[in-house]
Amino acid sequence: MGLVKQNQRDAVVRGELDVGRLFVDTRQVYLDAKATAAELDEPVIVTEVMWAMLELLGHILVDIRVLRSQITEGELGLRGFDADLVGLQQRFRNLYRPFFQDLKPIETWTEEDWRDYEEYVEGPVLLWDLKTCQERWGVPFGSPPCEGPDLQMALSLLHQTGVAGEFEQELLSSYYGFADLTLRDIASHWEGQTKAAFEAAASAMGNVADTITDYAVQKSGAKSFALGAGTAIAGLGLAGLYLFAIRKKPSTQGK
Amino acid sequence: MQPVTVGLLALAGYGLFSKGKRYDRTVRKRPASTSPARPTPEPKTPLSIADDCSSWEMPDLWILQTAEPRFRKLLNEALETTRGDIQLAKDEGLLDPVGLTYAVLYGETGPCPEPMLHQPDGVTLSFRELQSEIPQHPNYYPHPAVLGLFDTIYEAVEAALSIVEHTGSPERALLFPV
Repeated sequence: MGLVKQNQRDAVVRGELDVGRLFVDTRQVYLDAKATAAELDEPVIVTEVMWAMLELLGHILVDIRVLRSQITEGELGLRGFDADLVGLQQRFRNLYRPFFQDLKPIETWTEEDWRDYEEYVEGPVLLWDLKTCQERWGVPFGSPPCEGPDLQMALSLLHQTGVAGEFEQELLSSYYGFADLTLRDIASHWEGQTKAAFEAAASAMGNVADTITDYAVQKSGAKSFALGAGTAIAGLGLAGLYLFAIRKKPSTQGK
Repeated sequence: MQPVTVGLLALAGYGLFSKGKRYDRTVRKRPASTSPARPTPEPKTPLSIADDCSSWEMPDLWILQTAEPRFRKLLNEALETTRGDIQLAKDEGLLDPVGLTYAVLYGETGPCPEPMLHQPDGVTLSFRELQSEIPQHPNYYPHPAVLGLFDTIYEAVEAALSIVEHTGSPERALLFPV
């Protein structure tokens, strides 16, 4: 995992995070792992990579909480933001994290266990959009219903804290770098193709960490330049026309 | 300047100008997927305390909007005062968990009196010294639930301070973990 270079940092400072693309690429790491798991008939790849995703989500949540507490100093709420964060946190605390505590050996999972995994973790964290959440949410644990993939919501909330210019790329780079290390640690307990599958997922997460600045959409610097240059040239042209007309006027009168 | 040159210049200028304007319009119309609206302030969610002070409820929103930010503000101020020296902040009483608990709950207990007793001899008893079992006792406080509320926050403050102390890093110390 490389360090963020100054020019990359400057690019992010000028830009805006493309939350959607970052989420889609992250989800793809999971989907690739899932495909490999099916190919190798090694379902443990699915759950372990999901575990790394949940760890990523947990790190993001902690930092959002810290950043949130610095925004209003205890005397105001933030419309929408606070409710979203609380809902996300409750799902994480009541549902996602407990699911991985005292997990049964994956080889013994029944179809029902897999259905629970899909409905309590995989769907709401990564795969379900808002409509699917509304249709399929049936969790009886008092957790607020999901509102689209929670990892995407977490990235979006982090972005909304308004730290994009200063810290966002370092934070994200460190989360993904940590996920890289987590997956490499998991890989070290396996051999052969399964190990390779974990390493591939680790590399993919590490790659996101290394190229996090690529997820910044450039602000309208070039556009502003075009607008400014256009205005200046048009002004110059109009001024020229005006001078031209003034210079022509006496000769017209003379005729 | 030749009229043709001036005309071309004006045309080129207008072209670039309108391109920029066009782009602007497009940008404004596009859904804000990369630039989410910054959250706007609203009244915070209060701590829920029964009128007779017999019970309370601590919504997650209250923790997020009141307890956590107040704690963090005080923590940051303390460490700014001592230039990041956690031990010095503790020694100077800036990170006293009892004081921090009162600060977090300041004005939040509704109709219930603050559990603090100023004795005639000048000694002040905090919620740590008060008890709710023996009414005749000088350190009696009539609302055990409120004492429980203060204790809950106190324990959370202590746990967070312990993280600050052990990690040397106040950035990730949350009053109530995720």
